[in-house]
Amino acid sequence: MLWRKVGGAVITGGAISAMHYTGMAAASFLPSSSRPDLSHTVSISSLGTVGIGIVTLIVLGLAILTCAVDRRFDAQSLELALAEANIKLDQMSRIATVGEMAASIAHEINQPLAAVVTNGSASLRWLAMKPPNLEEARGAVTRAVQEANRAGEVITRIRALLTRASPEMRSVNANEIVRDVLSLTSNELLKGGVTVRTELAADAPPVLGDRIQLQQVILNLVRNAIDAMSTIGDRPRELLIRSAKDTNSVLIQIEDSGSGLDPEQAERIFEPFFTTKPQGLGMGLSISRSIIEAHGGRLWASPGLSHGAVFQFTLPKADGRR
Amino acid sequence: MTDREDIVFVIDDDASMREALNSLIRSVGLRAELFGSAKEFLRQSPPSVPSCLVVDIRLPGMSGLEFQRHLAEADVRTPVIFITAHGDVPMSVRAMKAGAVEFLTKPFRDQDLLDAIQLALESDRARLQREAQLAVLRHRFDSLTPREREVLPLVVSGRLNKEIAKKLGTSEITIKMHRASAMRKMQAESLVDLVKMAARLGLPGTES
Repeated sequence: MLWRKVGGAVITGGAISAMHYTGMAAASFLPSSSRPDLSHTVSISSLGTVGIGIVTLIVLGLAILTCAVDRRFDAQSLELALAEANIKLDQMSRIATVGEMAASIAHEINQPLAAVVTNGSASLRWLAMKPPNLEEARGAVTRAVQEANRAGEVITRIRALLTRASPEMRSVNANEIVRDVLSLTSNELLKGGVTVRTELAADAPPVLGDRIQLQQVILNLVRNAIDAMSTIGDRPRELLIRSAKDTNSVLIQIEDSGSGLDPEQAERIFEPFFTTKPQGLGMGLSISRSIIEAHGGRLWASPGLSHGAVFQFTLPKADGRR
Repeated sequence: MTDREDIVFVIDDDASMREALNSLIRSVGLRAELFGSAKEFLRQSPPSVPSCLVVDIRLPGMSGLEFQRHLAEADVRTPVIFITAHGDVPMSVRAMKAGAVEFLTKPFRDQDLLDAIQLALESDRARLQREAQLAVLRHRFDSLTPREREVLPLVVSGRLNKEIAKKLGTSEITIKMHRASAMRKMQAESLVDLVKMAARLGLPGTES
């Protein structure tokens, strides 16, 4: 970035001073002449002046060229940054929506639930009286039923909401999504001292899926891998992403050289709220698995050959069964 | 079981929750009065019988903590039990610091609420008793003559009649009379008794 600016400034500066010099040389007055009445005539016949003129034109051309190239570079990086920002924004808004929805579900369900519990306890107390107060008990139970129905309605409403927010399934290239994610995480990978290797099958067929959701899954797996390798000091921190085509699906493998996977935990890590990270929520892998399963694929984990872990998932081909 | 005159005030914007709480509270022989908002409750005069408040912290138009502030401003010292759908720790800490008796998260165990209510009613009853006794003492103190009111703090600070007489420029016998009269009017049975009363009234010369 900086070198282009500096280069541009030097060339432009050179052009300006050269033009100045040429102008001065060209406009120099000749004190003596064969034709004294034309003593103010401008002379451009000297060889040096012509040379300087040519050099000026070249330098000017160069300056214009650098300017144009610089513009093009700027436009390109701007476009790239914009695209990245868009993807991030989309992801964040989706995550925010999920969070907000969870909070509002909790509240909407909790309210009637509290009324059900309170009415139920009250009716038990009315029944335990000697003699039992059936009228009051009936009233409390009736209200409990009403409130339970209210909770049911809330669930119906949420379900309707979820179906509307169903993913946008399109034919997408899994390799491209992997590359998207790697460019998004390039900074994190760099900071984590991780070397990335990809072996992406060029002949991998397109899969049917929601681009953003699949990005989220791969992003999650890559971030997990970075975290798993953060404490490794005695061997290289390597992230290997492979893609391969199968008869009816595409396989994506994400392998790290991190702290590895306890075979007993290989399944537990997909349970909601199960986490091995001190600050982890325990939702990433659980959500990732449900996304892959919603796509008709499978996501599983196994220990790496010598160390680390391998996470892999399959996605059905776009022109396959559906 | 508590007296029939005790009142539990329920403030919750959710009508069905209000009814459920009403039923639960009545099932243990207590009286409940229901309000849909904090404003509705604050409009009436402070209760004069042992009572407590059961308040949903997410009241419309006023937060539970704001409500506590309003109560304090109106000098209503009725104990408050908060119930909330999603209480976080800082919120509950602030509520308890501002004098809440209990902070329950919905859905709560009925026994937890009823225990908190009993505790709150007992503390309110004790408070009302204390306040009533103090009112009686204040009334007695008001019936003292200006001279007796002057003598009383000196007496309870442990000075001898002779010292008091010297300080006020009068005879020991006069002080003795004032002292006896003050004791009688305050209905104090002993000097110790009188000292205790003075402390509760916050008179100078005593530690309250």
